[in-house]
This record gives sequence, C-alpha cells and structure tokens, in this order.
Amino acid sequence: MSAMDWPFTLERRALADSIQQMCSDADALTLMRDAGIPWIGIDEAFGGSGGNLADAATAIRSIALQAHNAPIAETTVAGSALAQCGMQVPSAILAPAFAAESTLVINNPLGNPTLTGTIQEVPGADCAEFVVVPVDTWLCLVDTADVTLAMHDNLAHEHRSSVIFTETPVRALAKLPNNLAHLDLYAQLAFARAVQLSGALIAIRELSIEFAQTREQFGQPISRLQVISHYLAELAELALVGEGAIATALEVPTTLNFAIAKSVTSRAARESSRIAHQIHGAMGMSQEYALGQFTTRMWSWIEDAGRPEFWNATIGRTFLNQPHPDLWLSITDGIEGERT
Amino acid sequence: MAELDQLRTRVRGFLAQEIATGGFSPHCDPWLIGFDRAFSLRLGAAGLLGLMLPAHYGGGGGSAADRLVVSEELLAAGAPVTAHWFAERQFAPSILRHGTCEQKDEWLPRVIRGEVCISVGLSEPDAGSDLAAVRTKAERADGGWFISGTKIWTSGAHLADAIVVLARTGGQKHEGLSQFIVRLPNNDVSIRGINMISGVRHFNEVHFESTFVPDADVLGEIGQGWKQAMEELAYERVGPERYLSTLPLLQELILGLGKNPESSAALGEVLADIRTFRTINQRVIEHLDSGNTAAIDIPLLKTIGTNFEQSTVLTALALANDPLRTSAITAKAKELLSEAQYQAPSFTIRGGTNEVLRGIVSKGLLR
Ligand SMILES: Cc1cc2nc3c(=O)[nH]c(=O)nc-3n(C[C@H](O)[C@H](O)[C@H](O)COP(=O)(O)OP(=O)(O)OC[C@H]3O[C@@H](n4cnc5c(N)ncnc54)[C@H](O)[C@@H]3O)c2cc1C
Repeated sequence: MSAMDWPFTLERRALADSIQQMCSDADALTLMRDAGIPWIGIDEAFGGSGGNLADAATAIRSIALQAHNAPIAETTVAGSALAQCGMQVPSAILAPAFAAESTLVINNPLGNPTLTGTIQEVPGADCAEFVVVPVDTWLCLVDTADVTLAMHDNLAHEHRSSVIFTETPVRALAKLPNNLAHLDLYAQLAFARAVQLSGALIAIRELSIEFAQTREQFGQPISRLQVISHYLAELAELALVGEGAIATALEVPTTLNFAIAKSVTSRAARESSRIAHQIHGAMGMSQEYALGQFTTRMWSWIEDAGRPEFWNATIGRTFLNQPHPDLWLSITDGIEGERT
Repeated sequence: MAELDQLRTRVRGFLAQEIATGGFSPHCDPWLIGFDRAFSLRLGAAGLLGLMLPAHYGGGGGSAADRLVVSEELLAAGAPVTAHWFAERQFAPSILRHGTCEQKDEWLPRVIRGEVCISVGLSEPDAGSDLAAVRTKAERADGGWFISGTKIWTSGAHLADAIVVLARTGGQKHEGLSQFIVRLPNNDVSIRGINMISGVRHFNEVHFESTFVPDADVLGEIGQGWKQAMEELAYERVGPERYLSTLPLLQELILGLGKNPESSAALGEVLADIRTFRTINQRVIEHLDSGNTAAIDIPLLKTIGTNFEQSTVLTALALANDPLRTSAITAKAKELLSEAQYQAPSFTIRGGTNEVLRGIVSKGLLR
C-alpha cells in the first residue's frame, strides 16, 4: 500500500500470513514454537531458526497485528542476547530481564555464580522456562524455577513480573562483549516494542477506516464528515511514521536507531490511540470491540523498555557528548561511536 | 551507494570552500528566502545542478537520488538556493517531459548552469485551495495567445526570468487549463510587491493584460495544464525541505548549550524525527522516480513533514531559552530564530494546505 512496505519480500509476506493463521488457533503458542517462530533472527549455529532482524521484526509485527499475547518478542530478544554473547540458545520460552542500568549483584562469577537483587517489569517471565539477565559485565541464564515472581497485569492484561533473585544459581553465563552494554540490550527490547507499536498503528488505522465507513449518523457514514476523514488521514500519517522508524533501524541497526524507533513509534501511538478512540465513540470503549485490544497494548508498550522521554534524553545526551556535536553529520554519518 | 557518498563529499567540499571564502551566510528556509544569483551560478559552475537531467543538455544524467544528496547538503547548510530552486526542482523536469525540442535546448542548459529563475503562477485572488477555479484566461491570437488575469502570492516574480502561468483555455474546472511560459520582465506584465509579516519582500501580485505569449512558449499540451501542474507540485511536496529548513538554526543553537541542558530530550526528539522522516522521504522519492508512487504517499509525506517542520521551531525556542546554557545564543542564532518564527506558519500552507492534502489522503483511504 505504501512506499514504506519495509518487510515485504515474498517470503516475509508468507511468514506474516502463516503467523496470522496460527494466532487464530487456541494453542497458538505451541504452533509457533513448533514452527520455530520465537527464534527467528537468531543464527542456527547458536540454536536459532536463522533469518535476520527484518525477519524477526516481521514475525513480531504480525503477532502484534493480531493483538495476541504469546511472548514471542520476549523470547526473540532474550535469545538474541544469548547468541550475541556466543551462548547457546535453548529451545525454550525466554524472558529478558533487561534494565537501563545494572542493579543485580553477581557472587562468585568464576566459581559457582549466584545472583541477588530484583528486576522489575519483566515481560513474560511467568510462562518462560528461563530468564536472561545481564549483570555487571556478564550475561546470565537463570532457571525460572529458581527465582521468585511477583506478577501483575499491565493495562492489556499482559503479564509483567518483578523477578526476585536470592542467591539464585546461574545455569550458564558469558562475558558481555565490549560493544554490548546494559543500555544496548535495553534498546533491543525497546526495538521489539517499537515493532509491536508499528503493527498496532497499522491495525488501528485499518479498524478506524472500516468503522468510519460503516457507522452512520445524520443519515450518512461518518467518514463523509470532513473532520472524521481528516482524523483518518492523521492515522495514516502516524502509521507511516511508525513504519519509517522501523525501516530506519532495519537499515542501520544501531542502539541509537533502536532508541529512535521506540521514541518515534511511542509518540505516534499516543496520538493515534487518542484519535482512534475519538473516531469510535462509545463503541471503542467496549471490551467486545477490537479497538481496546490495541490501544491498551499501545499504552503499555509506550511505557515499556523506556518511555519516549527516556530515550529522547538518552539520544540528546549522547549527541551532545560528542567532542563536536554536529547535527547534520550525526544524522547522515552517525553519532560518534554509534554501535551496531 | 559509494557514488552517492562521493557526491556528498563533493558537495560538502564545495560548501566548506564557500563558507571559508564568505560566499554566503546561512538562512532558515533557504529555498524560499535565500535569493542569490551569484551563488546559483557558482553551484552550476561546480557541476552540482541538474544532476538528474540528461547529459546531452549538460546535466549529470543521474537519478533523483543524486539530486536528493545535493539538495540535502545545500539545505542543511542553509545555502541561498532560492534563485534556481523552482527552475531546477519542477520547471526543468516539466520541460524535459512536456517541452518541445527548442524549449529543451533553450532552457535545460541554462537551468543546469544556474542561470534561470522561475516563478510559479498558480494561485489567484479567488483560486487558492480551489485551484481549478483559476480565472486567468488565454485567448487564441495569431501565432500565440493573449493572457489576461491576476496571479497572487507569486514567490520571487520580481526577480524571475519567467513565470509559468496556469490559465484557462476553455472548458470547465480541471479541463481546459493550460500552461504558458511568460518571460519577465515584460512590459505587459505588472508586478506589485507584497511584503511578508517579517517586512521582507518575497511574493507578489502579478497582473496580465492581454500579454502576448508566442506558441513557442506554450508549455506542454493545450488542455493538459492541470495534470502538468500537479506533477510539478508533486516535486514540491516531496523532498528534504521539510526536515532541513530549520537545521541551520538548530545547529547554531547547539553552540553554548553545554553537555547536559534541560532541553537535551527535545534535541534527542528532533534527531529521532529527522532520521525517521529522512528514511520515509528517501523511499517515497525512489518510488516517485520509478513511477510507482502510491497516490497518497506524497500528500502524506507533506503533512507529516510540515507539522514536524513547525514543531522544530518550538524545539529551537526551547534550546534558545534553556536555563542551563553555558553561554548566550549568538547574534546569528537570534537572526535565524526570528526567520524561522516568521516563516513557520507558511510551512503548512504553501504547496497545498494540510487540510487540502488530508482531504486527498482520506479520499485515497476510503474506497
Ligand atoms: C510563503 C508562500 C509562498 C507562496 N508562493 C506561491 C507561489 O510562488 N506561487 C503560487 O501560485 N502560490 C504561492 N503561494 C500560495 C499557496 O499556494 C496558497 O497559499 C495555498 O494554495 C492556499 O491557498 P490560500 O492561501 O488562498 O488559502 P485558502 O484556500 O483561502 O484557504 C484558507 C483556509 O481554508 C482551508 N480550506 C480551503 N479549502 C478547504 C477544503 N476544501 N477543506 C478544508 N479546508 C479548506 C485551508 O486549508 C486554509 O486553512 C504561496 C504561499 C505562501 C504562504
């Protein structure tokens, strides 16, 4: 439909279609596991399903388009972190316990290491077999059976947990490579959320177009009212912006572009959810109707893995801390030390 | 890619030389208010104009991607490009597509040398958003046409070599419109200046009274003026103008901002948005070049871009007034800031208002 159809090679389209089918099945998670979906984008040498970041983004976006809760993005991000550290990725559902900065303590890293501390807002930990957690200069794999979870629902009834480590044994660990700090991992999780947000932006554009053409008031479809038609155009703008942000990061996958993607898609989602609800009137507030499935997820994802204000400040400071901060060079050639 | 990088380096070299020799002083919105014929000529002499025009006429024989690189660098530097901008951006492609051999031979080499300044004669006192309501008429005469009517808001008509006039040659609404190249200055064309809110003279009211235009100066086909004008507008609606018009200002404001100002998040936000819009813009231009643009991509791009363009002025104000600045803003920054504030309202008006563009988009969405 638009010039920004970033993911869509024929193969990716087929992948998107098959995921859409799986999502309508009662046991979607099993189907997706059996098809290797959670490990797309991870090299086969490390136990992944192969494919690149755009393939993984296609899968994650397709699930978001169906507003499905399967913790696939979480597994992809956590598994990819393991692979980046040269570790083997288990064929299991994984939870990324990532944060902007490290707060956990690792004891005895070179002997029988254990972890102590708490990480909050960990997605999908309740149904994960392992938790992947960066600590100090290490990346650790921990059995979920060895931690305590304090679970709550986010606005979309997705599960989030505080993961409490109390001298929790580490099952496997590796050194974080030099170019992979805690913030870099956090940005990778943020990018997964950005991809989900870009999917939701498209979904609510389509829902709203459909609704505005069907709902009649004053003897005509509300889409004929100029205000409503302009709202629809705005939703299309915001969806295109979201796609542009993802395309930027897929072209040059750096921490900075992941941060940018999260900032841009989150801000677009704030606008978009407001406008879409206005178009829908009371219908949008009903749990029986689809809109809320998307907007409640958006509101949660916007706050997840760094809200836009956090990433904007991070980007701004990174820019200003260059010896000669040049805006145009930083846009075309990258910020000094911009990491892939 | 490597070739585009080389080209970018070449333009940067040219600009560095210009700046070192005091060749220009940067402006905001430099394609509208940076008029400097000498600069355009130097750009032409450096072989940086008409990169997407055929080599036969002295052009670069390249693609829209080449022109995009040059445009980006010029705008980012705030270089005064107004004198040749309309000629190179929309007039030359239109001549190339619709012009006669003689017109191509006459105009294209001159555009490529940076010699030509063209004005766009679309809007009229009673035809703004409703452009098809143009009343300026062209009547058949011996060997040409007589044009009568009034154009308004015509940027730079008082400085231009010609104005491309959209006039009615018959028919209703979109049918029966045609384009004419009216050479300036011209005894039968009167031009009255209109100052902008900044006090600067920029646009004009242009009056035609039985102004004779020879057949040789008809642009394209009689009756195809609407289609041709819309093609030209497409070139105006895409392009890097939107994400770069205030960049010289933002860069100047970074001086003395310090490492940890209150406005660092605002700055991060601008950087994020520019990178994103730049990607979208590149993709849409590639599609436009290969002739398979989705009809709504162009108006979408313009509304996204101009809203962003306006928001950058607010960002600039936040940077300028940051309480944690390590030093006050420069005199140059003050000048650029007022330039940006004066220009900002027009971003979402000229080239089609955002309301009109959203109308086009929604028509495309609803089927
Ligand atoms: C700096 C500048 C330079 C310009 N340079 C040139 C130039 O060189 N050549 C040239 O030909 N023109 C030029 N223009 C004119 C420009 O193209 C027009 O301003 C533009 O097309 C809008 O027309 P208008 O100003 O008459 O506004 P109007 O059409 O009168 O619109 C007024 C308001 O009504 C709204 N409106 C109108 N119709 C609708 C609708 N159907 N639905 C919803 N809202 C609507 C508009 O969006 C706007 O908000 C320039 C304008 C500016 C500001």
